[in-house]
Amino acid sequence: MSSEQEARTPGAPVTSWEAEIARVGIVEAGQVRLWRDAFRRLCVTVEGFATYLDLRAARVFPVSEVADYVSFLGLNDNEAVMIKDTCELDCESRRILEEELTRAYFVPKITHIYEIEDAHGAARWEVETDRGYRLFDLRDREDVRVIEGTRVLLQDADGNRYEVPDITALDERSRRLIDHEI
Amino acid sequence: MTEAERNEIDKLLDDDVRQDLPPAVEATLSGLLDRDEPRLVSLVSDITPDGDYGERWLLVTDRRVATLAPENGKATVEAEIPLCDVRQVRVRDFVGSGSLEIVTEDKAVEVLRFSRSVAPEMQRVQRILRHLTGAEETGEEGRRKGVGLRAMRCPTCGRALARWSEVCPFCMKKGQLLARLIGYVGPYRTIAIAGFLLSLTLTVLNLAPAYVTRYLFNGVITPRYLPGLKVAVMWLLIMALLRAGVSMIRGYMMEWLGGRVVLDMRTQLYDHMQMLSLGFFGRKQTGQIMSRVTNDIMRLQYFVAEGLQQIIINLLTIPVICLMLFAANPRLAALTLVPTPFIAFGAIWFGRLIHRVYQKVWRRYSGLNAVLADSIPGIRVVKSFAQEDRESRRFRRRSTALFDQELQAVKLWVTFFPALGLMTSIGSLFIYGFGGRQVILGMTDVGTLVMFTQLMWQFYMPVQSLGDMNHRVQHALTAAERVFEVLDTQPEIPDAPGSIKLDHLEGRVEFRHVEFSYEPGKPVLHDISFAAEPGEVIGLVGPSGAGKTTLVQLLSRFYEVEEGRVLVDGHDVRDLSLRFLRQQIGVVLQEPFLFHGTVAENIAYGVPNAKPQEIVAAAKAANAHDFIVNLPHGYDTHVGERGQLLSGGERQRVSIARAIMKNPRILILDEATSSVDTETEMLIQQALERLVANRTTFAIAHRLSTLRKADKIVVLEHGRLVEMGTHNELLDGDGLYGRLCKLQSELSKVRGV
Repeated sequence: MSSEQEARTPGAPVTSWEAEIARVGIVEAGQVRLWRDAFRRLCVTVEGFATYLDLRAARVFPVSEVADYVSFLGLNDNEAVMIKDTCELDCESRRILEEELTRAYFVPKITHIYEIEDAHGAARWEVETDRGYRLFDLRDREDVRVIEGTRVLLQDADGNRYEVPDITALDERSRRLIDHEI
Repeated sequence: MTEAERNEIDKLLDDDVRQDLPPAVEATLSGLLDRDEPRLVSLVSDITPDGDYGERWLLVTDRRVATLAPENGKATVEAEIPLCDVRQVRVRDFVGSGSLEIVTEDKAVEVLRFSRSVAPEMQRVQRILRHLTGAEETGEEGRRKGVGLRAMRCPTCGRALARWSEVCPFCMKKGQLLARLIGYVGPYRTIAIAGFLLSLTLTVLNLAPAYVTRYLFNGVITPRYLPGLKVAVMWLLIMALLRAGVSMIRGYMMEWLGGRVVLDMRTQLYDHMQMLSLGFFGRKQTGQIMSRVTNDIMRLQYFVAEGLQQIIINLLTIPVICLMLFAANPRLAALTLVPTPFIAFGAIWFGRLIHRVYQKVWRRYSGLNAVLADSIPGIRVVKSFAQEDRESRRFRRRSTALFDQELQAVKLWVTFFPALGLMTSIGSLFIYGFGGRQVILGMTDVGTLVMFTQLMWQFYMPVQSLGDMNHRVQHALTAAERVFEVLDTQPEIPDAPGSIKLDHLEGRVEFRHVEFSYEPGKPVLHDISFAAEPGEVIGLVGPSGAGKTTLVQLLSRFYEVEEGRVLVDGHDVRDLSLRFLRQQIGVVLQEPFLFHGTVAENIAYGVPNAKPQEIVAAAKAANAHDFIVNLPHGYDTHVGERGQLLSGGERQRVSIARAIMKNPRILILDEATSSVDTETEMLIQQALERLVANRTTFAIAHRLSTLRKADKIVVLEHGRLVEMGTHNELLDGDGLYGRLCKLQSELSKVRGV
């Protein structure tokens, strides 16, 4: 915290910057209602303000999850509204959001590794995920991303994503196999 | 449905979307469909509606769309929609998956979910369905990014190939590769054979002293026969001298051979690369290509020179020593060999392990390099944000990770080699124990015992070295395969037989119904037709990615058109000699690329034997002469790597001089003035005007004011020609050009304030 303050030039108009931060319109989830029209399209109503039609939901920090912000984007990719604290949504809205987000980020979690056949970077992984059995190919080491030492994100040759939330939680054999790849 | 639509659908319906149905699905389906109902699409997806991995079959006929879920030998119909109800077909692309939705009069149904592995087929299904039903586009298309780009897969085993290579390590034919690699030794076979014979001699010289030693003990020391001592020691000395001499000569020969073969390969590779099309370089990163010329070939050097011979010699030495041992004393020989399997397996095991650990060490190294490559060029940013500490921490973290990993390797080394030593010592203990007993009991003699201990050490060495040979061979072959892959890429043919060279080029250029795409199915240029008369200036305008640069690259024939033609003076560019064509075209790019060398060399790049006067004339015409003579060494000043010792504007003017020097009939200016200040821009603009005179010019520009004098402005958007005319004509209209001009003049007003 203190280092961030040091980073700012002393004497700069701090107040206006803080005002600017405050102006970023993140709507409280309590004021928002999500619904689908007859054609399954996602719509958002900000109570007493506006209704937006045909949107797509995107997490703002999908990987780090440092904040529970969700952005709703229109057809032209412009943001219609951004909300925070999605647990405050009403039941139905939360269900719809969940449905949208599980589609928007299909990232099965690897629970067990059967085999990794590695040949100079290209590798075939055979795994069990929370979504079932899967066999996939990686194209090189850059497809394996280690975050904070124990979390691993993978992207296969077709663009599918997988995640190992915590390698230390894997069984011994899986851990040994993945250890060679990172 | 029209005939054209019918054809379009037939084109889309290939084996990828007509997969064989499993019996369970087949059974259910025959109950569902009419007797004469043709199955158009049958395709399996890999995600269930609940988001688990599992099979779902999509079926499209000329009557309906249906999805079926196979389970325990039967299949159930999950969704069924008559084609006549379909109003819209939506394919939604998400991270890691996608969905197919069908919209009818009163509702929308999510018909299928699928992973990205099936996404390209789903795009096709969407198009097929649209053709079948006449469904409208949905606007979802705008949300689609980077779809359909598919990884290269091995045609034999279907595995995805590494980004760095087009070689499947699982399927490569090792024998053929090895033979081809050895083929490079062919021209130097005398040296190779001589070297090999010397290696054999050396092996003999290594083994023979054992016999002399035996004689020394049995014939000289034990019987106290003094004259024999001189003979034996002399022999040992002679063999030692020979050994030293032979290994010196052999070492030099082998290094020469390896170096020479690598020199040949490297030269061949580089020459070949110069001939390859731009497409080749576009597909690969610079680092990747550089690594092939240096690293991959380096790896081959050791293998060609030493590795191969080492394997052969080791394979010969082992049985020879065995023979010697068994001939001398079969029982003792059998005992000596007891530790051999342990050493062999130990070496294989160690080889595999250390290989893995070293791969990780390498990865940590490149991680460390990445930090350096990141922070050193960005040092100004680091300093101006006062983030030196953070960068230090980042580096320290990576550096420590490297240290830790190196320790892992060290642990292996320090365990393996003492263990190996232990094995060998145990071997010698066997010899001393059992052999000593035999000597005492008079069953054998001291000489044989000493000979055994000597040979034993020479026996375990090749056993251990063969143990980890597998990895080295594998490595060398992978490197070889990558090099051969480049060599096997078809080059451009600069002067194809029958190609035309004209005496004089007028400079008339015509694009006629040109279609082009870098990847199949993603058109970059669509039906472009226009002509440029000799000496005309054509302005090319449009948003980024509209296809402007691609268009002028087609003129230089860096890529070939898919449909239509590009004509120069009425000749198709494909009929002209490529070298001739490119000699007629001068190019000035936004980021001028200068080569390491002097200013004069750079100006005369296209005309290597230019006279000094010509060079000065070109520089003057390019408004570059004045700054050049002010440089410390004038025209002989070195510009540094990529011309970094000159400013951006100076580099640009040198590159204009280079283009003028070549005196081309056709000129391409690709954003030539967009990255310099206003004053320099004026100098460059003046230079360009001199350059443009009497030359057919294609000028790509974002700053539209620079195109005011253009004879014709061609406006491109999404690969299509949307407008064409003079500046004034287009300004009056309310098209894209008018809009862009208005925006820019507003912007400059803002700047003026």
